[in-house]
Amino acid sequence: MKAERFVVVAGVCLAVGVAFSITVVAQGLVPTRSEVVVPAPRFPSAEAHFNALREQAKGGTKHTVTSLPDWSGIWQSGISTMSMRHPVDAPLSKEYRARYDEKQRQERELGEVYYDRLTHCEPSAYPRWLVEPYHKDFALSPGQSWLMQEFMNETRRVYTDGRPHATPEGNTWLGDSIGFWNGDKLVIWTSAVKAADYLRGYPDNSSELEGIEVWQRVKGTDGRPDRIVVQATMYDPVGLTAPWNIATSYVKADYEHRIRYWDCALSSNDVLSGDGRTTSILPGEKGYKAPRNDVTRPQQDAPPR
Amino acid sequence: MLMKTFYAAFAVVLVSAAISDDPAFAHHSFNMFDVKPESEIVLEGVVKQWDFTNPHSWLTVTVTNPDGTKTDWSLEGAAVAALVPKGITIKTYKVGDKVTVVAGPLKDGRKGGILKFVQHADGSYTLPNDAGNIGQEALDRWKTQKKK
Repeated sequence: MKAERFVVVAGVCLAVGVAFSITVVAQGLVPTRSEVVVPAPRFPSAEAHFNALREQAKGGTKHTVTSLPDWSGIWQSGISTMSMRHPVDAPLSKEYRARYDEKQRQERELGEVYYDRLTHCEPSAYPRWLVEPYHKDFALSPGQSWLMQEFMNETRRVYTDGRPHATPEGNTWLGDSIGFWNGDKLVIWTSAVKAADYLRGYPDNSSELEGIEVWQRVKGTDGRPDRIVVQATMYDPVGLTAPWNIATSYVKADYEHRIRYWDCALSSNDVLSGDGRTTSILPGEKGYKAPRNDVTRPQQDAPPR
Repeated sequence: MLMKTFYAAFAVVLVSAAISDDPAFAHHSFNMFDVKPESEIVLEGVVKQWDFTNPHSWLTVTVTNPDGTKTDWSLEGAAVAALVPKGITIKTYKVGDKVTVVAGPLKDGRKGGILKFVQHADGSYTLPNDAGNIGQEALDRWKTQKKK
């Protein structure tokens, strides 16, 4: 038994080593934004997983404002195993496998899926929030942490003061998130999400999905960038046949950028066409929305209605 | 059982390391555009409008046709959030600027498309494109053809 355990540990170490080498070679020593997935122990549910991690952390670290980790700055979304090359390794249920297969068929036909629900300005929602592009920033406090995303102004509020889940509104786009600190790691349990998807062209998730995330800032060394790494496990008894371990990371931006309000409803001219595909409304066509901007369209800046 | 766990872990770790390409990010599918290199259109004209907005920017260029008539072409670019880090701002394209634009046309034949790159009057280039690396790839081809 001990020998078998040794083989497993050695094998995983070997795999990590080989994987790291592949990454380094593939990237030509350029810092990669992909992260290695740490397989989580098997738990029957997100709740069991969360409770085990909290027990391991002896109830969690009670931080003060000054003892919290430094996640200041602007962070660029990295690449995750949820948005890697097709096919993803998600253990999909039969129905969700068929949906994913259809998306891949559309991609083979057109190079893209016919339509993305974000076109009509839906939020990315959880879990897609984890891998949406552009920038994120984070505001940490002992009792709650705000994880803010530039895309669609989506802010996740993670309550770390010991309160349990509360969902009087039912299921919501970002769900309900509670958590605790284990040293410099933020552990999050998210539930009560809406049925959505992991990313355009990728599998769907059901409204029963629950996610366990472990966030940790990793200082950049050996050519790798300064980043926050998220190791997560998705539990979805409808969409998945087993928990799905994923990883993603956010790389600290080395350029000046300030997150602004993300407009969509008043400025998007991409729509669902009559044939179920995507099209654009051009200036002068019916339904075109001229984006308001006091620099490039000063004549169209009207008082609020 | 342990060996199964090992193989699963090995596979997961290897798969996760093999990812490195940036997928095309945007808030919609690009299936309405023909992004193939052989379908590229080259538009020489003047800037009529630069809408520097999320979720997508739009550059409208007026092209004077051989018969003297004028046609407006509307071309979609990346989000402000992607362009600011590249140094592209609301002032990068001014009304009246002479530009050469390389784009992927709308498949339905309307006068629109997806931006690949813009050559300015002074010969410099900007890459306001969305959809991954299509701008840089088109610019590389353009420069290679010019050398021949």
